[in-house]
Amino acid sequence: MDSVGSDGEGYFPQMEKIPPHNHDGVGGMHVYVPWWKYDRQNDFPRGYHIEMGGGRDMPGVGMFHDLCDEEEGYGVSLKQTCRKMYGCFMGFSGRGEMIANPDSYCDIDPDVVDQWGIPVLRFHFKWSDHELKMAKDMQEHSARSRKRLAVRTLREGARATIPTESRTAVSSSMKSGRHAWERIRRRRCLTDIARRTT
Amino acid sequence: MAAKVLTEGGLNVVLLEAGPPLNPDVDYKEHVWPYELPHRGAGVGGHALWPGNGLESEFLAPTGAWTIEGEPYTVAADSKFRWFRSRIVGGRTNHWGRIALRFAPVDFRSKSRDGLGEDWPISYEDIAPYYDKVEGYIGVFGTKENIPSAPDGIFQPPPKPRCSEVILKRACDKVGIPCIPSRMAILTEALNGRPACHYCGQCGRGCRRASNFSSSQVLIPPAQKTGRLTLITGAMAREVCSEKTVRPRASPTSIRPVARRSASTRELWSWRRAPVSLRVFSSTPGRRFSLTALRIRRARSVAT
Repeated sequence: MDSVGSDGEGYFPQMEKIPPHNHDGVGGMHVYVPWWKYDRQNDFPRGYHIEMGGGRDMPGVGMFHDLCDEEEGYGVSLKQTCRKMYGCFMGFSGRGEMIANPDSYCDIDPDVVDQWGIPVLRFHFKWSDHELKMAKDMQEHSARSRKRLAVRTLREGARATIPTESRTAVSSSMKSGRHAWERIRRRRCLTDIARRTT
Repeated sequence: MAAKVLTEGGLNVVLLEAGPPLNPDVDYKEHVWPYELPHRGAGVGGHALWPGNGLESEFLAPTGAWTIEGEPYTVAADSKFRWFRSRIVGGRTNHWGRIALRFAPVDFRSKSRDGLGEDWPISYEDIAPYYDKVEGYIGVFGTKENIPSAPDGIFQPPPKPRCSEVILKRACDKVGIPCIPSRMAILTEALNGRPACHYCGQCGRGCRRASNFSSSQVLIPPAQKTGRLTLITGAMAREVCSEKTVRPRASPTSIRPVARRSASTRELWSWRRAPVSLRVFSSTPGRRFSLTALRIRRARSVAT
């Protein structure tokens, strides 16, 4: 079992005008969209919630690495770009319910053992239409929201390709609210879990 | 949680952990800045910036991985699946995003609503008192909202929204999307000797002050304080032996962990004969087995 997920990211130009300040807070979001759409007619069953995060907080290693790759310039002008864009990125992550299906289970691999001779687990996994439709709804909703907020969409993608047993570590790094560029890089680096489909 | 409850209830418990012990003062680096690291943390020639080259260890709570040497898993030919595992006391509770939400009444009756999956054999009302207990002990912030799909709990006050979140909230309010303070297992007020969060925002890298929840820092210390917990680290549970599977001697159930470093096994035996008080805990990360009233019966080496 996995949870259904889709992540989108936007650049908020209105944040550029806010004076630099400490985005004090916990490691993660302070507000979210609680479980919804479960009580209305959709083309998918159950519901999902939306986690949101981003803004200015403690920079991590490699924070401006991708920004420097993507923006032109050097020296003072590049630094100014970094300062201007820092904290203007927000991410939206839908997280919903997967319906258990008979194609998703694990058993003992008949051939492979680990270094102590203990038999290992073998995983079988398949998304059904329910999950794919829910991920699509998350993407459409997220796109509409960003349009309303007049933000520039950076990337949008569902994690419908490679499911994982747990997202805990990935989520915590994403939600620690680092700069979006770093998050993008970190996703590549840490997990590779979802080669995002556009 | 089980180790805490059982030891405080007077039972002796052995906790097996496949990984090393956790020392937050040494292992957690949540306040280290990039400029405090050699090469700003990027390694010689920036090599640590690239996948799998070590940046993770510096900027995440320790010892979790998508692949663990010597401990593979397999994926069927027509499937894609990745498995994140943690090998350290407290397991993945050291890493998680701290979002601590309750199931709603409707979640226990899903099949009755849409015909898919299964209904739970218990209801929200059955489990609600335990939610109360856990939230009260680990500390969760949030607000009372009376939203049926997100039941309220025992909450500490939430932190104020950041300015970016104020923008989002205003936008949501305008179009009628519910947007409420999140509910996370992070203290905003001191609790049981743990100080309130100091808002460094680095939960994903661990918290030396235990202001966020992890079983390693919040549940295991009180269990240890009872004197009835034996924590064995570096011990991979190899098998659960039962009367049928092992000894000619009519035996109680035992489990056989592998000491990782020495690659030897030893068996932990329950004193009592059947019915055996064996509990297998697999809901939290790592593999934990706890036997009541157990002793280490013997050790022996195996060639593996």
